[in-house]
Amino acid sequence: MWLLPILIVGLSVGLSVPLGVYLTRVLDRAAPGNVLERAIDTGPQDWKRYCLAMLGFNGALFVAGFVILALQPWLPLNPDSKKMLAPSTIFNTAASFLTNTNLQHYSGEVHLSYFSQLFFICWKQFVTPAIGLAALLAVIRGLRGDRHLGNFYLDTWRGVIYVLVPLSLVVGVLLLAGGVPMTLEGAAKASTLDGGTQDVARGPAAAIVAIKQLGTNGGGFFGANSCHPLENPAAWTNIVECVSIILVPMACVVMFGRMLGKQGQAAVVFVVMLLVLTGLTGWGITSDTMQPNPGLAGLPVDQRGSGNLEGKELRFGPPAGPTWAAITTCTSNGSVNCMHDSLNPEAGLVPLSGMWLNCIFGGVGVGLINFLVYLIVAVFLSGLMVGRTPEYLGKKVEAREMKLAMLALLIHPIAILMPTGLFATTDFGPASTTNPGAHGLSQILYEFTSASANNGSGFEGLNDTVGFAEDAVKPDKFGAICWDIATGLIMLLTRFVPIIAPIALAASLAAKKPTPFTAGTLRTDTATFGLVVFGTILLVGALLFLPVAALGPVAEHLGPLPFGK
Amino acid sequence: VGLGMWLLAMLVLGLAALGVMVLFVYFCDRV
Repeated sequence: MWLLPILIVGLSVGLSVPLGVYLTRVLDRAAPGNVLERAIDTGPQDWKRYCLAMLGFNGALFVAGFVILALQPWLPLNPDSKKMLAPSTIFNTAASFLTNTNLQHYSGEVHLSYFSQLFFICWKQFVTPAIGLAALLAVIRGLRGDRHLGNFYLDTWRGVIYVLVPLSLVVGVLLLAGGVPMTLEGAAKASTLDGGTQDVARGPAAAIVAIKQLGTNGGGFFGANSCHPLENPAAWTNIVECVSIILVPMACVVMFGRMLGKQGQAAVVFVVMLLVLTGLTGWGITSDTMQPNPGLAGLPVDQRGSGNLEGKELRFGPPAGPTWAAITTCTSNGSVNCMHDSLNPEAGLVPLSGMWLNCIFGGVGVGLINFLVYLIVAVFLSGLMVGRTPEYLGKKVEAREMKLAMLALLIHPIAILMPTGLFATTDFGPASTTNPGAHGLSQILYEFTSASANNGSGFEGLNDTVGFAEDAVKPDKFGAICWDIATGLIMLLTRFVPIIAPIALAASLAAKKPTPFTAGTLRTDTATFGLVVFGTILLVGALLFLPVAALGPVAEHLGPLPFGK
Repeated sequence: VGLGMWLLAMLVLGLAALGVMVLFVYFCDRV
């Protein structure tokens, strides 16, 4: 039961240390190293120029992605003649893959051509995590006291070329060996036992699945994501993919310590993150794999020893689903190997909690940025308690820094709770959900949580797929169009606000004079401070989201079976 | 024409959201 999660977390921790050392060596170099880097480098940037370069680059990416999807029927590598997606779905998909969310309101093998899969999906899956890495580099340089935060274009280039491409090659070859297809031929024709024929969708999946996991992207080649036997063929590929999800975010913490030259600081961050991750994983397994499915109570189903098997991929074993659910939502990845909609209600709180906190290793680069915001809040609270001006890494944390931290912190709950309330109390939400009562609210809540956390996983059960352009005019697609637009806007908002405000915060700290370390200075590299950060994350998370949790998964758990009314 | 306008509206919506983020950069500068 516990061997699988221990193996996955243990392997990830072991591999993250050398990878973190490597990241520091290849990403934190001041001067361009070759002709290409010299061509890309536009010179040192202050925080504003760094952010504006990032936004300009993302604007160009958005337009390019939008055009590729809109022109899909007329572009090459379309052996199965895929048509144009609905305009709202093109917007949603362009925003989703721009923001490293990979929320999919379409089904890959049904709606996208190979050209779109390779030159839209796969391309964005390399570039957007590199943008997250670049943002993290800028924040760390600010905390280190650097006058300039680096060069956005050079940082992004290095993230793609020296980190994501080599890692994807290794993982892609492993997946190929496991049986994941890599071909540009159209769907295969198979003969069924009753004499009929069946189309078996395939394509360049191995390349896309590798970067899908390593870049905390999560968007699957197939609609069923990593439950699909051609996307995740065996128990050992399940372990490879799970380790790939969490490896780079863990290595980012190691890089943080090495770039600062203060590995004690990174150790505190790493241990707190690991504690929450293992806690959520254990909670998921305990409440799902070790508990029966309440919906099957009274039916002649023997659930002893296996727990809730609804929506699970049995090839991987019972604990594989909850383990993946915890890891994929803590890390902002969003790929799935079981249906989160089918988790027991208590276990359904695990992926929601991972995304609500959104800082437990988190997305590549941005997860650690989110954690540092919580850390600044913890420093501030500690300063209030001991009656001193709070300091972090020798710099005073004052009103400006706290305002920026609050902007970064509060956009997430606002972007989840307000639209959830709007959709739950109007026809937009209930018309799209497939369950009544508390479970229906959980479906709405999960969708907005996933969009806001830039996670992209689906609780499933929502009618949020419009389909092709010709389907958009059907009256029953109005709700799905509303989902496309609402979640698309939220993804754009919650990607950039929590990046821009912390970069401004780090630059603000960098501009301050260092404060001498004295006996009264609050140390931030101790186990005590680790406990304070741990408590801050749990308390702030609980204050923000417990009320809505009580209306959704908790009410469902306590309410009449099978689902709370 | 309907589909073209619908596509254009969606493209402008995305770019407008990114434009708001540019304003947010200047807002953070004044905080």
